[in-house]
Amino acid sequence: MIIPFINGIIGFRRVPVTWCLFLLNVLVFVFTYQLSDKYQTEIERLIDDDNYSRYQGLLFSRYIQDNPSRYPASYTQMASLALNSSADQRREMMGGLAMRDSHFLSQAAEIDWAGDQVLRSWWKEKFLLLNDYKNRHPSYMLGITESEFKWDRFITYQFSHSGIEHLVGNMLFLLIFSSAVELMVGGLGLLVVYLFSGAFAGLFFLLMQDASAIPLIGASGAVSGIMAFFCVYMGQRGVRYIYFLFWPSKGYAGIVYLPAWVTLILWAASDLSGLMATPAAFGGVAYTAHLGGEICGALAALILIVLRKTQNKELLPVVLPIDSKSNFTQL
Amino acid sequence: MQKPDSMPPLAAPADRFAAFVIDNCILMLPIYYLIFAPFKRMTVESTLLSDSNDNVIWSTLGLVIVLLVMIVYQSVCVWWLSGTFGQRLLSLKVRSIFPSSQIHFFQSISRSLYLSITFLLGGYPLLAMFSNSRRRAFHDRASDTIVVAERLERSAKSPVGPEISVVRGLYAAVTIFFVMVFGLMTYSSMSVKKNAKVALESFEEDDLLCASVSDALAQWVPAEEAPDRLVAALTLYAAGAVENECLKSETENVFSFSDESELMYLVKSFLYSESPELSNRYLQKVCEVAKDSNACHFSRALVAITDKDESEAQTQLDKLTKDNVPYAAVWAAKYFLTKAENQRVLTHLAAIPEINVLSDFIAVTRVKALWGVGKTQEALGAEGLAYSAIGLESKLELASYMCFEKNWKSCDQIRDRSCHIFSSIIKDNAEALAELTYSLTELRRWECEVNSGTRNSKDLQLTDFPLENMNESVKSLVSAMTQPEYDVFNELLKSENQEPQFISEVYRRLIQWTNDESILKALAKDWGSRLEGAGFTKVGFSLLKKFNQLRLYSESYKITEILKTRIITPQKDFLEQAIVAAFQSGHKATAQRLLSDYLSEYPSPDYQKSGREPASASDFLNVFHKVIGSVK
Repeated sequence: MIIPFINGIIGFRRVPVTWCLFLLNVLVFVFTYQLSDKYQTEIERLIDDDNYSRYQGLLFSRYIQDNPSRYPASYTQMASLALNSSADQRREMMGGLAMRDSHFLSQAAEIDWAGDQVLRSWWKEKFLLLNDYKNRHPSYMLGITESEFKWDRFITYQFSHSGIEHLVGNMLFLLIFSSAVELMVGGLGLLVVYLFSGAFAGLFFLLMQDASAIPLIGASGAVSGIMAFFCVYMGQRGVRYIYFLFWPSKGYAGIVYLPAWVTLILWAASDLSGLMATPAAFGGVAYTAHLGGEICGALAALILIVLRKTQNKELLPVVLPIDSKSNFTQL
Repeated sequence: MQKPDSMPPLAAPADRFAAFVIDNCILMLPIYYLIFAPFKRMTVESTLLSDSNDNVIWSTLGLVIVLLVMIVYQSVCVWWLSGTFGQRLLSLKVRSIFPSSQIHFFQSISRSLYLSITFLLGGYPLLAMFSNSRRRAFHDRASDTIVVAERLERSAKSPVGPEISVVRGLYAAVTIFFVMVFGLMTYSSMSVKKNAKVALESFEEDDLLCASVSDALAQWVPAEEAPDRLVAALTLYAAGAVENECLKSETENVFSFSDESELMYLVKSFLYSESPELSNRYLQKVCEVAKDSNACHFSRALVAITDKDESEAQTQLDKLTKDNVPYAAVWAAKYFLTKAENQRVLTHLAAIPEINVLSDFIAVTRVKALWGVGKTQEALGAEGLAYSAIGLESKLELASYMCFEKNWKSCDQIRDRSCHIFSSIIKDNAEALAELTYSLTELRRWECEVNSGTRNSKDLQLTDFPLENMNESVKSLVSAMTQPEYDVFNELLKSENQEPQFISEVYRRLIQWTNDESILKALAKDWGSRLEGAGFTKVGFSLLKKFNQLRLYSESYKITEILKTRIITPQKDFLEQAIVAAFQSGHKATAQRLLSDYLSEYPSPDYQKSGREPASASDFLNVFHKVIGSVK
């Protein structure tokens, strides 16, 4: 295991913008948690009903068959299997997939499906109820979905999180990397990088056709951008890592200084492999958003490096201490 | 010939392991992830798309590619840098065992290949690092290489005695483990083949469940009146001859997107029986689609049964049976059997086609109905015929029913074939006792056999009753019967969701167990509202006998009046008890009327064999003589 430690967590006085961003994320989570939990529970209760998901799966399979040009061959094959067999699991899976398909969801209630009218009307009632819950769910109100294209969502989605684990994971990396970036480029610089990276991450997510009816939320696109900015801006300079190989003894655990770009390589490789490994319809992590944020953050760092060099300015603020014992500059 | 170096500074195994971790868990890990990622995706997609083994192929291919990359990395680094990046970071060096030789490329490739074989064997050959004098593992020795430490302070010495002994012990243990695993895998693969055969047979059997519909139609009498598949399927389902899956497959793809059909909606109401909201909607829809259809009348009957509107249920079911709707006839037979309206059961049974698939159901139901209407000889005859024709499960059901019925009042027929067949089946199928009906029968059978049919529960050594495999409710009942207090019985009576048969049995046992007048009066008060059908009659009769025993004739007379309205064919012992109750409570006219009914069916008690307990015999005889005397 090897994780960057950099400066640890720095106090509010030195990095106020970082802490403001942190607090804003936490406040949004706190204020929306109850509503999120309530509607999420209701949505899951509906979706967990086997009869609902199976029938929805049946309808979605039929929809795919009726609109083959809109779907890849794998979907058509799955739909065919779901229609031709009475395997309930296949239909439930298709019912789950249907929840991500905004084309189907926008039309399903209006299509005049033949056959079992009892199940159809029952499903429609539940479906409309589900839509109502979604319209009131904070994640759907703040997040980015395929069907809801509003510019403000590119900002609001960055401050919405699905659960405590999601929030804690993102905020931990936010505090570590954002504090370092704020020390390097100041509060305004950090804010610009954060918001632009987050917005670009969302746009990249949409452009890569990863968007679905499930909303994109979370600060990870912005945090990826911050992290990429830090790594590119630091370049060859050393960053402190804590490592642990297998035993807490000298040589097998401790601190090591490695070039900052190592983190970016590791992070980007992880996101890229995650993206390649997961079929789009089954992913829970928006790898394209991470990659988009990383691209934006890296570009921003490169632009700043070029600007400072052309203006003959130091890349790093003079106030930062230099560790004379080490080959690398320590923040 | 070259000689190996005397004793170079050896690399410590811990350092070699640390180098491995750095190489494969930090440096190369992102590359492995990237290489494996598309294979993982293909594995997921092939799993979702089909049931074939494509997912195993894709994941194996991915692992093979990753292994190849690992081999290439190791080979290039060892040849070019005399060690991997991890090894060089920890100042380790891979060199030829012969000090004057350089490692050439093919030597490093072979070393990497041997290392990958080591991993495929679970790392087992790496143990040699702890036993070999130069700490050379299998891949080192096979490729004439050795790993040395460039920093003397981190070098390791040759293994010493205890270290070598531990490793040899581990070798032995791991070898034995692998042999055992191999043996078990061989054995289980043989079992898998056997189970696959069983699974195949089961699949064929499942196929037969719906093939049952085809068989039923082929046997339908008369053939020209054979209904469509769905009617046949519903009939078989009603009789318990096929399961949900068969009904489902009959409706599945036909109904999903084709026209509506009232019969389809009716079938769906059964398929969705575990979802009451949907099931009720389906039932309502049946009549919306076709108002005067058989399916609509049947749905009305089902709704009436749920609403406890018995007269409406009877009307609808009678009409359907008259119109020869087979599934309705089966359903009606089952329904009226639970109500102990056995004459109706026989009427509806006559409308069910006599086909093989339904033969068990018809045979068992007929015997029960005949017994219920008091046609004892016919019932016994039908029972005898049934045992030779029906399946094991039905045999158990019938034997249990008849054993219980014949012996619930007295143990006179405990040696009868019913109980003998029941106990012999249960001996080989003890797990069947988990079912309430069979547990109750076994309890009664045991009481009669072991305790010679002692009626007084308190004399029974119920603590000796074998409780293993028994139904949980019956265990609670036995526990209640061995307690001195009434509370446990009370709790059993108050518990919800208990089967009517169990509740009636709790009443009966409590009536047997207690002589407390207040408890008995309380039971008499609410028994009528709680029970129906056969349970109602049995409990009523138990109350009647108990009150007579305790000489509470006014109470027993009230019971008689209630029971008279419900019993279509009064049995001998009921009439005797009723006569005693009526006479002793001062209702002499009623007593006389009952006695004349009695004498029209049965011989005078003076001429009967006395097989009863002296108390009741003398009670009835005394009353008989008094009534006769008063008539004279």
